[in-house]
Amino acid sequence: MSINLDTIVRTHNPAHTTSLDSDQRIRATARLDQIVAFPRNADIVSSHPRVRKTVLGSDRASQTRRAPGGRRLRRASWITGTSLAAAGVAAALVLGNIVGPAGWRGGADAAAASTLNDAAAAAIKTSDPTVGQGQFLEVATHAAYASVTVTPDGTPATFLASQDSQLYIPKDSSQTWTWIRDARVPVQTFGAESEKAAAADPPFPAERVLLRSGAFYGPANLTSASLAALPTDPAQLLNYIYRTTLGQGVSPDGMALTWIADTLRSGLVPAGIRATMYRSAALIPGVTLTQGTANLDGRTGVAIGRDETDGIRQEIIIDPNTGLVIGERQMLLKALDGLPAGAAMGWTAVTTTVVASVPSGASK
Amino acid sequence: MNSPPLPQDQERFRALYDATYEPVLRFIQRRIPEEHRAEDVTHETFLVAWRRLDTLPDTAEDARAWLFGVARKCLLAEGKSRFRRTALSVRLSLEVRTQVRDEGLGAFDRAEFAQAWNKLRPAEQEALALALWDDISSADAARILHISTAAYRTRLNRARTSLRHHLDIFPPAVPTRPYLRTHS
Repeated sequence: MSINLDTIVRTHNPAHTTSLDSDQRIRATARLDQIVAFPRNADIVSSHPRVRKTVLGSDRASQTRRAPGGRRLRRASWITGTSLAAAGVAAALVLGNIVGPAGWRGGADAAAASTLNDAAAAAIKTSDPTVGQGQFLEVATHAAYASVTVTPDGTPATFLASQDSQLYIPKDSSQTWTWIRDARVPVQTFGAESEKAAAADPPFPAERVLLRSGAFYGPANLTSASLAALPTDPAQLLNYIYRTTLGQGVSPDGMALTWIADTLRSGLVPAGIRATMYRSAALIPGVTLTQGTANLDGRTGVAIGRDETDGIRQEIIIDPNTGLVIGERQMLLKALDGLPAGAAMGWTAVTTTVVASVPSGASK
Repeated sequence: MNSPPLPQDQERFRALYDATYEPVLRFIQRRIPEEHRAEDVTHETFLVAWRRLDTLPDTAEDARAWLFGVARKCLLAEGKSRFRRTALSVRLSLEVRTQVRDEGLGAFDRAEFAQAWNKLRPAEQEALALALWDDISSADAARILHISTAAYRTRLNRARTSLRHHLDIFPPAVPTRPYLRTHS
């Protein structure tokens, strides 16, 4: 019997069999109108956080008809062998999956570990807000990310652009959720070039989206079921994270902390699981306490973080009294793309509250 | 030096957008799980295309490959530098599809196929997906992945071999057991 492998693979093409639904079409058209209204010759290539630098080499993907007088754009230089080396280390660590890497390679330094364990204890004592009948849990996210542009002479200029949204989850989470995304605006600039880049930032529309139950447009990829399925033992959870993030990030330990930061910043992690995540973070080698208090979005807390070899320190900021997550940020240990050392190249602050209703209005 | 967009540029871009939006979105959807992020990256990809309309190939077919290349770079760069990777996993959709289990092909159900597929390295998944799901020529796929055409063909063949192995299908041309059986 001859088996045609290609036929089998084609059979399993996962592309959606249906064409775009009406919501998708409306969004696609709205965005098209925004794009073509924007001046083409602005000195920007893309505005996505950290994207510009990488897409600059995209000439090579074209049949190459170069723009007349088109400037030579810097090629991406930062996709290096680091991630491969990191993958190797992680693979070695997780090999066999009999004994996980968590625990026996040390852990966070004493100050960070004690802060995290205290926060875990506080988190368990602090009860999560209870959503009453007809009420909603509001998860308000206030975030800013670096947008890197390249000026005509090849110098990078960076500004921070907002990425704010409010998610409204009904008491019965199978009911419709509402997600309001604010328009993206520049929130922080660093000098004249940065200001110019911010002024030329292309539009990114505000959106008000209704998330039907089971519809995965929106930030609802973390479900209470998927969170509840996580290991409840801190070391086992950390091993799970190492496995899940295998090969990603600058280092396996840094990536594990980033995974925890990303999960916590969703604002959807209940107190008990939050406490386990803090204890898992306390087991990650290289995690340290940031000196002094940490201010984020007008709130004050303590920060723990990990210095990575690419000069970025991922931090998680916690309210030590309640064990609540204030947010997370990436601090620059050295100047990068026009941002000075000590600046945050991205941050997310999250607040969860119970509200009686979903505000009307906002954008479409 | 921001002058208003030219109508002929807008017209050309709209036609291109109509012809390629869906394949680009699908390409991205297979690589990131969240729908809204897939649409955001699609938006970013077309913003790049708009800015670089002068370098964009004329035919929708060529433009599609060009856009896949940009989309892939946007995806690789997405989520700040900490996610830096060199290859992207290609996901199988969770969407329920008609079960295909026709006799002669030795077909596999979704779960069996998914199990084998998920054992492939991301680079292998990408090579197969470009060739068989996106119907991209070897030359274009190589450009999208920034490798030589020869390297792409090698990678594609390796990917086929691995998948065959994971699916537990022996290559048809290699007879194995029957020879031994004659002794017993």
